[in-house]
Amino acid sequence: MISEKRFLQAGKHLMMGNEAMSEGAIAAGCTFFGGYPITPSTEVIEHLAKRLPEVGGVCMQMEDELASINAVMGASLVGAKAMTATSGPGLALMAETISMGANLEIPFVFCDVQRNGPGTGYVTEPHHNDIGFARFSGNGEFQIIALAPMNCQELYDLTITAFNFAEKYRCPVFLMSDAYLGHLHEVVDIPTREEILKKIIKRELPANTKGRVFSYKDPSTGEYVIPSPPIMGTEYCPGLFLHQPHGPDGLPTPKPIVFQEMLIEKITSKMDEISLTETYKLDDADIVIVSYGLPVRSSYRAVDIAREEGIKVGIFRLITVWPFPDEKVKVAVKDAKAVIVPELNYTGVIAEQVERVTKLETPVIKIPKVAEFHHPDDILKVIREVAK
Amino acid sequence: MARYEIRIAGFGGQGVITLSKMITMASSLYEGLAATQTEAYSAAARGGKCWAEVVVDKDQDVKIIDYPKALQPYDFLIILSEESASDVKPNFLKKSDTTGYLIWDPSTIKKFKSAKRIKKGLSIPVQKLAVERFGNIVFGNSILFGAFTMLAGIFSEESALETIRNFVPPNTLDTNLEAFELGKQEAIEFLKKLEEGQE
Amino acid sequence: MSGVGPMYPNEKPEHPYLSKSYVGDLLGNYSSRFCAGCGYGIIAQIYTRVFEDEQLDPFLHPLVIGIGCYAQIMLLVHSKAQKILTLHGRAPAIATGMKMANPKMKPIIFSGDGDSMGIGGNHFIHLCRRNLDCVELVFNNSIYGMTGGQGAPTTLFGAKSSTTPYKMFENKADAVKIALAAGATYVARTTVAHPRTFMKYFKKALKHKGTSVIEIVTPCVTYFGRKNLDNLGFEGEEGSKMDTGGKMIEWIRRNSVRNNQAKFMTEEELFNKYVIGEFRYEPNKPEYADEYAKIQKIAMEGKK
Repeated sequence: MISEKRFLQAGKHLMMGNEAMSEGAIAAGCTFFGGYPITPSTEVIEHLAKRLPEVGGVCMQMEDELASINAVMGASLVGAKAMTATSGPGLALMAETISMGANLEIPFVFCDVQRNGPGTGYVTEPHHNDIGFARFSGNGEFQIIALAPMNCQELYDLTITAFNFAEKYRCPVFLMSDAYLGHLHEVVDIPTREEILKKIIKRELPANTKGRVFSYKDPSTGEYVIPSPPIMGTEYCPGLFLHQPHGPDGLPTPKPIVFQEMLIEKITSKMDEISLTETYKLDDADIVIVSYGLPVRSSYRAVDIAREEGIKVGIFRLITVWPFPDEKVKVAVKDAKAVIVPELNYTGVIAEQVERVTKLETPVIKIPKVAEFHHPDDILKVIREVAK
Repeated sequence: MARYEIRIAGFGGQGVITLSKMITMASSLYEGLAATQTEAYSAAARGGKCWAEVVVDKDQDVKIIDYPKALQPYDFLIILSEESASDVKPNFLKKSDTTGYLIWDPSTIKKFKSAKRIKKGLSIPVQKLAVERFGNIVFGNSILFGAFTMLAGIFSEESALETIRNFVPPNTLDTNLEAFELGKQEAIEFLKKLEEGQE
Repeated sequence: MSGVGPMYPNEKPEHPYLSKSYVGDLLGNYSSRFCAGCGYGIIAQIYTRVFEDEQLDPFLHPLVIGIGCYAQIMLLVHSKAQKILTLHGRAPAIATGMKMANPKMKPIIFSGDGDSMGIGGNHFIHLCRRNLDCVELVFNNSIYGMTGGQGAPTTLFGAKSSTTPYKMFENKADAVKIALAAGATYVARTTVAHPRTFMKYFKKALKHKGTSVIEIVTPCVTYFGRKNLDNLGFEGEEGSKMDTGGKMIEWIRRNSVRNNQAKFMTEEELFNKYVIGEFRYEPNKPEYADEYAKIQKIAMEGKK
């Protein structure tokens, strides 16, 4: 039964980023949140502590980050849609379990409200310094999905998308928010209940579960068709233990590489569905800005001004940061004279990816910023220099 | 693009954040403009130096505020405590016909050096008025909100009144509306004087 | 499991419960991977027996297993039990998530001394503090068996291990005392040398609503017994090697003191001894999931 309070009244609401994300989670059907307060993600647990019991869900403040992510995994194992929210230091603690979750192929959503680092850093400043960590967030090799919203509306919408991805691909899905976005108040346009319900992928038991082996590949096409996640407490749960390495046929395999390949391929082979991107004035651009999250907002103004000056520049925006959309980026920067990557970090994790894709044939110019995000003029200056 | 950058500074608990939220709500929800609000976080919001920033774009076509931070010079500056007043300089404010106003509270700020040099500075003893007229310090917010609505002209009075109805507890609504009216009148008088002075 | 399939195909198990276990049911094999003289077989056997006798609903009693030698217990427990092998020490946290997402459940947690007293000490404490309805079994063999005999937080004073090659000099952690202080509502300690008592406690814990902690002292012949004398190296006492299961079980039995006797003993006399018995049974304390359901009710009705 769906609680009446699960959906906010359709229409415009003024919300803080962290609240928008919490509401997105509730709308997506999240019924379990395990968290530990950490600046700047604290509003998520505060908001959900009030809202989740209203819709019959559970919000637990656990003893530490390790416990929160494990409780989330436990809840997901018994069929609840579950999520946690934390910041960089919390992510470091949770790494062990994220790896375990990827191995068990248990869906959960992980919101990382990134803050400045390393160590404790300036805790209230934004810094996209966990982008690289999210990609390799645990021991072993596995593939995660990471989404980077840039405003409160997207924090709401992408949280729903994140839950859908988690259910569909059975892997940890990251929402890469940041300290600034988390505390930003903006208008969020909430869709109607029907619209939301149409979008959502529900956790359901497949038919005739008893004794049936579920294959991970469609035998006719050879494509990955991932069965819905097992639920403990029902018949749809493997007999021996859940984390037994298995091949695409769903049967235990003694060859680790078969399982390893499946864990990664099941996601990377679905790039068409997973990879969300946006473009802005890109069609005839000589200079391409590749970016994600907050710096994209500043880039809009920079591009508009540069266009008025006659510089052909466009934006290629990554909404799905991981897995990195090699093919799409390749097409976007194909005719570019130069690529500018404004990133809210020093090392330029995504810039390196772009360099990899362009095989260093096109110059990639980084605009690093730490603990404060790009003013449009910062980007404009670089555009002008490159255009000379 | 018609960007307005507003900064409110004061002590935690004075209603800095509430006022900023009211401004954002009036401009975004009721006026339909793109607006963002950010605020001081953590310890600052609980009694230390507290600030909040609102960025509004009056252009109806703008869907998203591209840079949600307010930078100096501001279009509007509201200063409520002596500590925040100490570092304000006249060049903090934009030199423009329609904007560049300062609102400050002489009942909490004893010494405000640069106030004399700021022409468009409206001083309303908000806290004193709130206590004397309405019996509670919390009504100061509505006085300021009224004054801001008139000075800024970003959103209409209807939007402002709608925000107050949405924001305050129903049993204090009438008093808040009175306080709003008081602030409005102060601003109208101030604008009149300013005009006379210029002529 | 040594080999696949029954070792002696024509032989019927002496014990009817043997074929109920996972390997017994699936492969017709009733051997285990545990070393000779290990106590975990006894624990698995009793779990399987209780599961069968009490007709536990496997869907409502998920088995959450931590990391240690005992993780292999999943091959020996009841074939119908649903099991999840978790990370080292995190079993109580996972069980918390399970219980709260499906409050009808009563998770049974298997954890070792390294799990509950070492890496997962915090989770253990907070599980007890919340009084979440579940059963936590703490297997105490006073050694890290799986990694090859390193000292554990529960290693007795004076004992030798591969990381305390001279002697153990740290104070030992006491799971019962921690559970009592943290607020678990059913706390007991027993040993595999007292299997019937363990069965009694386990059944009681299953019926108890709240956190039940049962510490079970179990022998590790390979890494603890073979390296230590039964006097644990104290001078002035003649010790003998504990290199067989029988000797270790005998040592555990001698080293255990019932808690009604322990009341009249001094601290020196109780040094390095295991006090066994029931320490607390408070069936009427509020339980976490029940209390949360009340909160949900308040929230749903819109009261503040």
